[in-house]
Amino acid sequence: MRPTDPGTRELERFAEEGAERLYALFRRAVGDPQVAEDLVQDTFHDAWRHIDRYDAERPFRHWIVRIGLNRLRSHLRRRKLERQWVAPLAVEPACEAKPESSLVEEERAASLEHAIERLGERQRVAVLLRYQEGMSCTEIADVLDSSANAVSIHLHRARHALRRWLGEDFEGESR
Amino acid sequence: MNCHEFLEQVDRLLDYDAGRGGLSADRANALREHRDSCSLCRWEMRRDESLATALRALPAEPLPERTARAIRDVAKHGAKESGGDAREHGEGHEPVVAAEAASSVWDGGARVIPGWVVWIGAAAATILVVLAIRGGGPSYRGLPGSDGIEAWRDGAWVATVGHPIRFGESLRTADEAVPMRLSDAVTVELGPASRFAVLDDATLRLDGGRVGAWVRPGEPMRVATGDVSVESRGTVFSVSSEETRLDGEGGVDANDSGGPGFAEAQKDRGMRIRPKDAAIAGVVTVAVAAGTVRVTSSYGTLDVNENEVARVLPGGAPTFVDLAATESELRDTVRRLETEIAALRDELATEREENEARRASAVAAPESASTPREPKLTAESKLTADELRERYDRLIEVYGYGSYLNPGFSEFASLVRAAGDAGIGFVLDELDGADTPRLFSTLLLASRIGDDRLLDDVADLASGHDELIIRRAATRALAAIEDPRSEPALLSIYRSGEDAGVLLNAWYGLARLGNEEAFTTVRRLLDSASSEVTEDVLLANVLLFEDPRLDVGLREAFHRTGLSVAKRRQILEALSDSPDDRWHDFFAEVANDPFTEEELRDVARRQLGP
Repeated sequence: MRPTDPGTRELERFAEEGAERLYALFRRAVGDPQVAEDLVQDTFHDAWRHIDRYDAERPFRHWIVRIGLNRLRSHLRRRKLERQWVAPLAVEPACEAKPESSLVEEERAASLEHAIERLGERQRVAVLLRYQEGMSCTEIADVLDSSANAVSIHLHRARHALRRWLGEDFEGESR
Repeated sequence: MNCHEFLEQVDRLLDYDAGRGGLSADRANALREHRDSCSLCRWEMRRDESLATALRALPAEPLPERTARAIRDVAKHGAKESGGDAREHGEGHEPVVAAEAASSVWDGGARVIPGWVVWIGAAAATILVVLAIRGGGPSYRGLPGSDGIEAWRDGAWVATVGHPIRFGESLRTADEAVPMRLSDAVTVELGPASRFAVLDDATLRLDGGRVGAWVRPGEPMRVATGDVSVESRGTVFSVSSEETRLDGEGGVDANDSGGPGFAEAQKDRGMRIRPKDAAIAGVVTVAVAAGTVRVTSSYGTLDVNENEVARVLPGGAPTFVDLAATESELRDTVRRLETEIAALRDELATEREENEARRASAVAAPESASTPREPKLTAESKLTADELRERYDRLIEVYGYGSYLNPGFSEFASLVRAAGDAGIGFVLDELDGADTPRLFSTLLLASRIGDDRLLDDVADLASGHDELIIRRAATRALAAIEDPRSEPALLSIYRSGEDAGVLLNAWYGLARLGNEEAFTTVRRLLDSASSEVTEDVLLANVLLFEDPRLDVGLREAFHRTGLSVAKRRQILEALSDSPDDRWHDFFAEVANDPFTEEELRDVARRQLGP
């Protein structure tokens, strides 16, 4: 163990302060809470194993989110493979029944969640990093190893698609 | 700057205004100028902001405490789960033989592997090779979590002794867990000196199903019956080869009152866990760091030794990846498979060439010695209607609906055009036909010719034919004829609320006649279309019309969710035909975008040049 290692310190801090957000990111990216938990654990484990590769000059959050996205990507690829080559491994998580008293806001949030799931991988990740993680285009580009320009285009297209799918629900305030 | 460009850059302007950089001052000023002068864009921004607010306000589900705890453990100690890493949590307990054995190299001794195991192993290897060849996605070299991918990229086989590979995924090291999914009356038997770690949520049924244990990672496993109780503060058990009792990695209290045990632990047999029916649920992770795990299912028995992975899928045959073979053996297997694949590719390429040659000879003049050589025709050659028909017959016979994609189709269109009245007469006759593939091709031919004498017949087909594909093609031809007299027909189709493909063609037609509203509509449609308009229709339209103003539409289409790689490649190639260098940035984006398929990135890189 490397207790005085700056990377290790950052990792411990991120475990306290950033794990929830990483989980939220995975949760929305894959839909399944169990898988999201696994991905968070795997990400931390990878980060711990390779903490010596962390460049302290760069933001730790970017580094670990990139690791997480690698994990996510592996998971999505494996899921695709499993669907293609073997029988489905898991039943889709059952939706919990909503109580009658569900608020309109909850329904709006649910439809938004559903719409996010429909986005392509690039757009979905860009949207989650932008609006859930509060990253700038440049920061997202750093994480995705892309250009700020490409990120901006992904975001524009994703919003466009979301608005189209969500219809009037999300346009009321603007009209 | 146009609206489209502005909206694509609006996030960068927002970042800039929030002091988060990313733009030059000049660029930011240009964007601001557009924003201030364009009410439509400001309206779009308000709508975006409304959506953004909702996105930011999405409630976050809290991370379950057990995972949060496990993560904190990882951050502090590197243990994946509590008790998951025996070497770090084994304080106060006897060293585990298994852990010491983990680093040993399997000696490749004789053992019998059932035929189906070999077959499945080969299948898995094939899949991996194919994946490697296809390049399943970009790699983030040097980043953790991508080791396996990186190795594939280099063309190397990643599964070496001591480095199990996770099916379809990545490289892991020997002292880590390998995944194992159990069901279907599976028996797990641990050999002497084996380690069995339950690292994920699981329900185990022991002793013929009489005893149940619910195990969660990071929590003690508790098993209790009237006769026996076992509690472990960790979840790793070791079975000593010398004793007949269980040793829990994190401590085990075993009170054996002499009643029937739920698990056998014998010197020569190790611990046996026998679930009843499909009683093991969830994902069980089994670390086979030493010793042997035997898995029995209705499909047979698997012996899983150290450095091996076995997965028994619910309701399916077990998948077994043999990783205990030596690295060189695996390399040989990979080489053999690669050779076979290369041979298959060569065969395919040869077949493709032969097909192409056959097709070409069907369309062009036959050149064999046995048939008289047909003189090569040029655009100036004037053919009669019958001669045109004869050539057309051959074209349609070979290509059917796809005729218009063949280079021979363009040549044929030139011949029809050159034939003058005879050519037009030929097309009019063909437009009267009933065969759908032929009629479809003829309408695309009419699009190429664009002669106003075809207008009435084409308009009738556009508005009245039974087949949708014909109405689409006819509307396209109508648009291509670009005659003001077609406007009423186009407007009529436009107002009819027809199929999206037909509508799009009508809009195109109107746009070409100078209707700005229609042009704006087309642009907007290209911006947003995905489910409403098929990519085929979009792409075919954009490509056929070759309107430079619609290059933007191509670029947009490229990013459309669900668009096939082949189509996206077509788009890149279409953009590369643009005379100037204005797509340089776009190609650079594609070339550097890690989410874009490697094949497309290669195309983009080629456009960028050395």
